[in-house]
Amino acid sequence: MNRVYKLTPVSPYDVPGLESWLEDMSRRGLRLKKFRPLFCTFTRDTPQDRRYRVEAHRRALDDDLPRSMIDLYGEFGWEYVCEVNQQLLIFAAEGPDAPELHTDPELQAEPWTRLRRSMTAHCVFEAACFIILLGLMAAAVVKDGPVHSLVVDSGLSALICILCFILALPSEFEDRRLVARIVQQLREGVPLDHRTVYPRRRLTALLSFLCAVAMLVTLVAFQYVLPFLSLDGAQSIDSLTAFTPLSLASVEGSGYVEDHFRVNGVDYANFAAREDRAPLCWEQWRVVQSGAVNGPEDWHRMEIHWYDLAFNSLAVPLIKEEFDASMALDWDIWWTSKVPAGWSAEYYLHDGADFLAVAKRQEGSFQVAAVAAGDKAALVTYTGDGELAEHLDEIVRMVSDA
Amino acid sequence: MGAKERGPLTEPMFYVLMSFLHREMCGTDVTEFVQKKTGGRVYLGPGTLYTLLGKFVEEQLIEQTDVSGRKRTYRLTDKGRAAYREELERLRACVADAEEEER
Repeated sequence: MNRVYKLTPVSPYDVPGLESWLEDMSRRGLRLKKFRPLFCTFTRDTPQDRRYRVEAHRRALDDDLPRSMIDLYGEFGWEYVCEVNQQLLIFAAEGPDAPELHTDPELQAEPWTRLRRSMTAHCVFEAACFIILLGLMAAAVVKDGPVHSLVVDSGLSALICILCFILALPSEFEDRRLVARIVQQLREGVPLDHRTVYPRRRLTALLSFLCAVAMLVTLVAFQYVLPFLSLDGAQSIDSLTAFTPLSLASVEGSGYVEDHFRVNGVDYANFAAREDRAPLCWEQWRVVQSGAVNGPEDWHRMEIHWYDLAFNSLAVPLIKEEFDASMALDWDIWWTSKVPAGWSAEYYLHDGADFLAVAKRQEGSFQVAAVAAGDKAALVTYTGDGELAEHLDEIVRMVSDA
Repeated sequence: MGAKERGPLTEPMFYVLMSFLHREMCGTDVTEFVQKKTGGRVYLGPGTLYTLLGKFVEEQLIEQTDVSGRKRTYRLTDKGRAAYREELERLRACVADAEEEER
């Protein structure tokens, strides 16, 4: 069987346009085999006048095709061709003998009315999902900052979903509008036209579809596939090869004793863990070091977040945002005192760094250092008696030598 | 559903019910009967007929009795016969009123 594929130039809900196009194809010797919203499959046949009619028949996922309808139409010479979106059925009749399907427009309006209702519900549902997604994204942006949300968290995935909605929603509403117009016409007692002018192509629909598919593939890849490729769990800091972390021991100096808390061979007091990959952050590490200086009560801790980003231009905005957020987190961080206090921040110009800053809480012993160079960035949060500002070279080397 | 809830039968509905009065029928038989009975004044397309049959089955005015290949046969139920009689009486009353008014 010789198959021919044609881009679909009309929406399936543009009933007169679709019927006209299929009839023109038939005159060119192409018999419809399978209708798809983007492209249709035809088989080669002798050119003939074949009439096509589109019927509304919405069915649930587990419903069968309406056999009684197909059989009855078949009795009258209308053969079932295919189904569209589980909402429409396409029938074809060869020759002029088969009677027109509908002689009562108001009765014909009933299945179209049901279809319009379900399409309205679907449009409302999708619009609600879109608004909820926007709300969630806005909440994430407010909580974590726009750059962090976009680069490190699932902000990009949410953005892709939002773009998919933006591409899909207008066509959904347009299809619903077409069906509503059919319902209105039939309710006014005016039979549907079967012949009309239709567009030659529908490139916007094709482009929207391709963009949506590309975005969804990206989304699935980054959201669900790439995390599985990441090394999971904590590992020894010595085995870390991506960069050389600033050492808590070097910041603390003599008297520092490394703490240990081993579970299943992993020391959860001093470890490095690769975090999930993200579309714009191919690699990120979290390094935790902890120990004591003057006995077990004097507990010191350092945590490093290290990022290898997709673009150089992301590093400085990200780390600036993280730096500011770290200072704003004062009340949420368990190892700081609950006494309100200000922060003093120093910004440095340093060879090999695009951005370097250290901040110190005025009360207590909490410090933050942020550094970015090229497409690498790192944030150091530290609780202890040392001074991060005295270790700027080591901090810069985490991103410049990586 | 009673006639009061359903309202008066439309002309095609009335003739479809009438077609089942004396025998079971399939779709093509019904359209032939209606066309013949009305001298071509009322014609039912298969789409219209399908919607009507679907409504009548749902309202239990008719029931399917046999499926042979693609041919499905239906018959009138007691409820359908009562609905037909009720409509007939309504139409008779209408005609009587009209004739009385003509005199």
